[in-house]
Amino acid sequence: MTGLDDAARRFKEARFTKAAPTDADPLSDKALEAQIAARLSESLSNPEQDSTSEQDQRQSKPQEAPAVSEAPMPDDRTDSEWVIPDPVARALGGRARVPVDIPIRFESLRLKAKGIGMPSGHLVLAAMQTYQHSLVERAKAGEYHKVDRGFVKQWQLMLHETELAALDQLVDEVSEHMPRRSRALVTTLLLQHCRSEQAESV
Amino acid sequence: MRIDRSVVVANGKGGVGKTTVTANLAVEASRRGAGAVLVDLDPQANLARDLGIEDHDQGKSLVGAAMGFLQSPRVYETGRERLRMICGGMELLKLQTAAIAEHRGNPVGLASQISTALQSVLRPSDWVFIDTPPAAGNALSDAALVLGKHLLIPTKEDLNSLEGVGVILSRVLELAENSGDMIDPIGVVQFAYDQSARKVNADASEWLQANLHGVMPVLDSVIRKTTKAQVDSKKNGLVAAEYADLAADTKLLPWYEARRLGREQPSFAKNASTVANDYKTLADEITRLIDEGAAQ
Repeated sequence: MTGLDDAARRFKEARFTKAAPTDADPLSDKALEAQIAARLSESLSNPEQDSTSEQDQRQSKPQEAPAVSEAPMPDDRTDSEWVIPDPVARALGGRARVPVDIPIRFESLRLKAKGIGMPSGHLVLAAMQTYQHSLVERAKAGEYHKVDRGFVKQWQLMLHETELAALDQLVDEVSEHMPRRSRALVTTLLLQHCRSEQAESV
Repeated sequence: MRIDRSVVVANGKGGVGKTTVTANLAVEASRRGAGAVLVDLDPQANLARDLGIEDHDQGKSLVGAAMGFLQSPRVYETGRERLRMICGGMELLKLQTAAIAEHRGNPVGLASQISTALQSVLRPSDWVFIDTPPAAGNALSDAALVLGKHLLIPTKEDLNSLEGVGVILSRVLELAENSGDMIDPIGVVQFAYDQSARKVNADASEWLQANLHGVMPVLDSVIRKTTKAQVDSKKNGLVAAEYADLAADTKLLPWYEARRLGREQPSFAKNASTVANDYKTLADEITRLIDEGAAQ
């Protein structure tokens, strides 16, 4: 322990109150976890449900999907990178590759998902939303170059049908928030890739 | 839906001081005699660590309360008088995921769920300080903008951080357009401000004036850059004012005496009180602006 650590500890002992014991939850942690997991599963299985008012429902009508979602898959992929389909590349201002750093970030999230007992696909889905702004900004700045194909395959395996549906909605939402010129978000690319891989495997 | 006495701290970019500013303002409010509740809506959960809370539920009870499985979220004592906290963490991603599926990204539903959960533990005199994740359009960030009353945007002076201000402000306007009700933008505060970088400061001010379009002011207060004070205080779970108190309270032996006795002595940032004073000034300015807004 350094001199500062020691001084800080004594400072806190003198100045801070002892933390009062927290009231026990009416539900045990495990029971709560089970309920949350069930709710998540239900939500993802029935993505149409919405408990908010009619006005909210009107506001949350699905947006038109970006045109690029129908773009054909590229055929010049290598093992280490995935080339963006032409329409998407055009929308990104001529940039034709997606980032290599995203897989690393999501791999780390996948491990964290394990740690908190959450299905990986759910977490990836949430993470995509968490990072959507940074994805958009970096895509616009042309910072995306390539994506690890191994990761994309792994991701495709993690996502179930219901999660793909939810991700589809997310892509619509994301696209809505993007400048028109950059509507082809990286999530669209990855989703498209997943679908394609899934179709191939069927 | 909106929590009247609440301040949301947000910026579209990460690393601009959101969590640090949130923690310091809440502690300052509690030191001034107000009840304060910190709410961490960021899955990164740095706010608890900044306050020295290591063992917490990663937001699980907040998720449970928002989903209606618990009557209220777990409230943690921070050790400071009148300051309590509702912790965030990776569990919040479950709430976010459910919200995406259930509300299709419409922030009103999620905001309502979180607001109801928070109101269940608030006392009438409490001020609520809400830390948000670094992304505009993120479900949790949007929910904060819908349920909070006042908005403070910290920024550094690099272009990415400044653009983060523009991004969050655009999102505020979009949400207001959809809901007909807008969070009160208190202002932009410059964080890690380097007084010696005059050209950078001038450019940043110019950018902000040009891009805020009069929607919100750039605050007179700034939070100056003091790397050692910030690193030391975060490492020990203290905010700037507490670190300054610690530095002031610690009686140091003359170096030769300490050496003779073989005693290790702490070293403090020379400007330990600088940032503490900056937060006091910021709290004064925010209080004045909120009071003026309420009087109008």
